[in-house]
Amino acid sequence: MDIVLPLSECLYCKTLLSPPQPSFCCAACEALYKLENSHDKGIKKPSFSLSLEKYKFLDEQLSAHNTCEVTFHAEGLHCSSCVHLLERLPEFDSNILESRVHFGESTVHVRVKPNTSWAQVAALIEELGYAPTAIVSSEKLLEKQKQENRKSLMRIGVAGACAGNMMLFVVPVYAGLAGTLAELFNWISFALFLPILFYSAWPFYQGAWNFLKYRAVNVDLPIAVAMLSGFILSTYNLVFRVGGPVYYDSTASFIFLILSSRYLLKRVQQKHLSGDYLLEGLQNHRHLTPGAQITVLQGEKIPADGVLLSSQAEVDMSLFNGESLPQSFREGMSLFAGSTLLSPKILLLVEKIALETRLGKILQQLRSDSVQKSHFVSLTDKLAQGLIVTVSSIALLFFIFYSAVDATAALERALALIVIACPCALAFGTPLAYGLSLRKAQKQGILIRNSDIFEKLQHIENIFFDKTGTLTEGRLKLALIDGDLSEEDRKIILALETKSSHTIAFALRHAWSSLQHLPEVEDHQEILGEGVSGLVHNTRYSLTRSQELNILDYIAVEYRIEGRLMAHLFFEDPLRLESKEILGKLAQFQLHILSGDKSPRVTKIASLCGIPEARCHAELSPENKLKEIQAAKHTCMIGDGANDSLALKAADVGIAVKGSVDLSLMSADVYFTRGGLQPLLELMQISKEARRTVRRNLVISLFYNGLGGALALGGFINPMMAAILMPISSVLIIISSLRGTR
Amino acid sequence: MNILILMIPMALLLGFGFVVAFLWSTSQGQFDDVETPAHRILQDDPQERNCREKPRTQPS
Repeated sequence: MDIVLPLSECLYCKTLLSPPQPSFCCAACEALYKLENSHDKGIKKPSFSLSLEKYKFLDEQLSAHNTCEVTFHAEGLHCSSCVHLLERLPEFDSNILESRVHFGESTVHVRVKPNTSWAQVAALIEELGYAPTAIVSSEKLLEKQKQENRKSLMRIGVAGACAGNMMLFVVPVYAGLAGTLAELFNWISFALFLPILFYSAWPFYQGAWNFLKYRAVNVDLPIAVAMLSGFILSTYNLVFRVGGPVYYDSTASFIFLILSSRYLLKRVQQKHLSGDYLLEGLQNHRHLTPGAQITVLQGEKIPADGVLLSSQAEVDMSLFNGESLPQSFREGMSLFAGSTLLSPKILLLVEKIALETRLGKILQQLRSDSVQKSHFVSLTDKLAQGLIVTVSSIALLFFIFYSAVDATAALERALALIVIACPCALAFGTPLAYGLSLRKAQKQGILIRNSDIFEKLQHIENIFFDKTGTLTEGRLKLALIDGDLSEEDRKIILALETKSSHTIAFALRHAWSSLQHLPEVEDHQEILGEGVSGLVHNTRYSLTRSQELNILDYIAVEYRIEGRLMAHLFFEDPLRLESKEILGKLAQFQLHILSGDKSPRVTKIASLCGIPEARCHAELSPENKLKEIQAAKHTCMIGDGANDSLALKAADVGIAVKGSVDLSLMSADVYFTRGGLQPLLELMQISKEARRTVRRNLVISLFYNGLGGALALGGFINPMMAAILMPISSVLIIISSLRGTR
Repeated sequence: MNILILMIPMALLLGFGFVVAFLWSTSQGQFDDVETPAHRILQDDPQERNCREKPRTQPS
């Protein structure tokens, strides 16, 4: 049966396309297709007289380094075709010898012939549809990070191989092998433990040394102590007391597990830091000067804050407000660095550059916050610290009292206690669970500044919602028209509103986006807070706020021709579709609305959501919102907009949603990159799971430490039991963490 | 049991060989990026691509 699909396929990668896309799913596919189907297989050099200027600074900057290899961060790298396209750079420019893409980091490493212009390379990458940023200043940092990762991986590999091989030789001994062969096998274990002792465990010695030297609280010292006492005890038994217990294998596998879980955590946290590229990208545009006019091409990131000089532009502002729909801007409006241009090229008057831009400020803020994150981990380290103090004092006391009975056994059991009750399980259980939860939240578009939130959310009783943009769409919509409007009228209205950046203008553009060929407006006047007026074909048209009808829960606008009232247009900020349902699910909390909006509109929304009028506060100033929050206990505030920033900061948990401006981002603890309230439910769920996982991990490790410790002191523990018990507890914690954060 | 004298060194040697191979490949950057190769393999070789039958979009 033949079914002709209305959907087309991308000519290159065969991805199904939705109808408006012509023949390719992305620019990379189009470029690759053209490259392969062009008959002149020779080098085709794109013409970039224009963009070369833009990257001139690269040549100056890099000539000092005299390097043939540079890594570019290629913004916009998102699919397999992108990888192929960027790895075929040498086909475009014979000076380029090799290019390698790192998909996870969105970077492309380029190697060129000596004395090649880097501006040319950057312009080529840009020509292919990516925003290149040469990673120069943080290159050393990245290189160091890479080397460290390799080193950790090598230490893990050695520890794993040694621990694994050790088990081969230990199992026969556990199974009852005795005599010379058993002794030989134990000596092999000893030999296999040495690489771990002198190579794999090195980070623990460094940490322990830091602990002693700088009093920096960490868990490395207890680990090192436990490992060394295990080694000393086992070696002593091996040399002087043939047949005595030997703990090499369990200690080795423990070191292997700790190293592995630490590596995992480190990689998760490294992914959090990718915002630095954005910052460096902005730094790379330092050469721009305020007042300069620059051209921005389609698909490019706007490099600086500035004023639009072209007549109009479609811009993707999702970086700022999570809004997936493009926003239209008209001449004279401000554009922000970091947003992406969707319409063909525009002219921009630069106003602010690099760190001065809105994005620069946000990124700096975020960066300083990511520094604080480690603070939390040290808290769990402290907890483990308490445990090791307890354990070692118990061991010491036991040794003192029991040595009267049997000195050798006392030493042996005390050391066994230290080896067994090593707090590692406890120390890595909590960060592992929280780290994995943070990663999960991040994947769902919930950025959490501090994992304390997981604990705090548990105690929340009152949830305060901002109305505009949180419960509602946050955007005015044309709701109804009272009166007749011909198409000509609509065109005139649109033409009047062309230059306005007022929300009503956005709403009208949205509602009548199909209208084309707007008439010329002369003598255009915009009266702030009132409306607009202008002459079209010598007739005066005006669009002004209605005075008498404003008390309703709509915002009304009057359309007049020569002062004669023709029609009323009503706008409203509609309730989000899912708001009511989600609030219903939050019934166990006291829900409040705090709004700066007029009372009738707030009451209407409250009744739609089922929030009693008594808990709904309208016409509040930011200070009054703050007072409301402070009056309640265990609060969570969800809002956006600058007027919520005080409240967000005062609340125990401040959540900024879509559309938030910089201020609320600085004051909030959590940021939703997606609109709506759905992420709130997800956040609740994730933190509940995180808490449950951490609690489970604590129970497991405490139970294990208690049991193991008691057995060790009683003299019942033998190497085989340790070999079974120790890894089991760690594996249990890893499984528990992975399951809890699935 | 005498065979153990041969087997134990062999087992250890084998293990040692793999550790060395792992260390070498790590130092060469083999594990720096474990994501991109999955994308890279999707690309046909250039010759392959030219011989491939023309559009697959034709209704069958």
